[in-house]
Amino acid sequence: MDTSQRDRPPVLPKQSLFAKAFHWVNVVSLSIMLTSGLQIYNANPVFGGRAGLDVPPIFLLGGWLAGGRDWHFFGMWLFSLNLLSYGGYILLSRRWKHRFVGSSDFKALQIGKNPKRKAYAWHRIIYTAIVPVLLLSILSGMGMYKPAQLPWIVDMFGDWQSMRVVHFMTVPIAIGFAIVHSLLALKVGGSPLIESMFWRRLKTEE
Amino acid sequence: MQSLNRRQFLQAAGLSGGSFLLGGCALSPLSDLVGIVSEPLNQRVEELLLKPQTPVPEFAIAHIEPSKLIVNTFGFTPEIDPEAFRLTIDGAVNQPLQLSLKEIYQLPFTSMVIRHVCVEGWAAIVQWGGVRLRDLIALAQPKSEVRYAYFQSADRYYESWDLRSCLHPQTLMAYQKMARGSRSTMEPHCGCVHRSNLATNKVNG
Repeated sequence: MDTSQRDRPPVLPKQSLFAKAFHWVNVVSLSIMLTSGLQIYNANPVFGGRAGLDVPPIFLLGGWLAGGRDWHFFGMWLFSLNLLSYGGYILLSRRWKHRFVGSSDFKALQIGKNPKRKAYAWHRIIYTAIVPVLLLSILSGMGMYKPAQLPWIVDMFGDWQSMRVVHFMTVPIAIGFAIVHSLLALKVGGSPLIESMFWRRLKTEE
Repeated sequence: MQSLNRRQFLQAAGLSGGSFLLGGCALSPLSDLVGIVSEPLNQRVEELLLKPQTPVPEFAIAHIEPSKLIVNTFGFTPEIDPEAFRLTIDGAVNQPLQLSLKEIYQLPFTSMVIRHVCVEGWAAIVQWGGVRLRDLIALAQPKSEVRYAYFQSADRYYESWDLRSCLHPQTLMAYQKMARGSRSTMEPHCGCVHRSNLATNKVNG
């Protein structure tokens, strides 16, 4: 993929232990949330109700409604505490100042000539945009989990069905994000960047 | 009536449907474990969130959504003889009792229009009319150590609730639904629950 050959070995990207842990927990917890959520979905499909189409069992977790709920309400802790610690991390390490999309990225996309810089700008736009989506999944999920205690969340979405649709839509968005995010990371930093997010490379690139 | 425990139920569920068979068998013991591990934590958070006497929002009668309420029965639809029906409340109570429908109708009547939220994920704004569970609990006089109520319904469904939720002023033993007008138009739908058991331990359900 990378056609430019250099004499000196490329500098390998390094990630903090936190960034790696965050990615790992995200992959695991989101997989649990998505598959158990689809298990719950099948009890009464968001689209079409009883007459709606079921999600095939291969994508499900829990075996039946209560099993799916057990997994979902277990995974929610992993998922939301991970996201919360991420928030704390970027706040305390002041990464929020330069890690998220900024005006320079839009400038690069509009008038920039460097394709790598443009890909990087897209990369930053996408991973910034997923944060509010994930927060929305938690908010709509809490509205559904505790409607008696938190009725104001249901009111925020207008009605119950809208809240269900929003909660469900975070599934295709999260899957789409995972694909686009990986592809853009590959474009920006190649496989060394992707690998650096999950484990330390033991061998250096030739 | 014989109640199924969770595992027997899972086996029955696993045998009854193809999709259950595929998804149910391999992961069910693990799902049970996940539930056992995370449920106590979730319950503790629920207790923190629970506002024992704060009412949930009620809606105007015009907002009732009759078409959205899905009538679920577990396995079969029971046919209940209103004359023979008895609501049994027993377990860790000082005053075990059996009430006929006539006796239940004589207890103070409460009607409300609330959002009915199902564990399956759907919701409907529904009118329910019936007896406050707290009135029934007061009649049965639970022992001081009681923490949960266990319900068995005529279609063999079962559920257990913490006592504080049962004592909420909007927790009803409903025998009327979707009534839009005066009580003269009310159609009694006798409560599915026909046995309530007060216990000190949460029954796995």
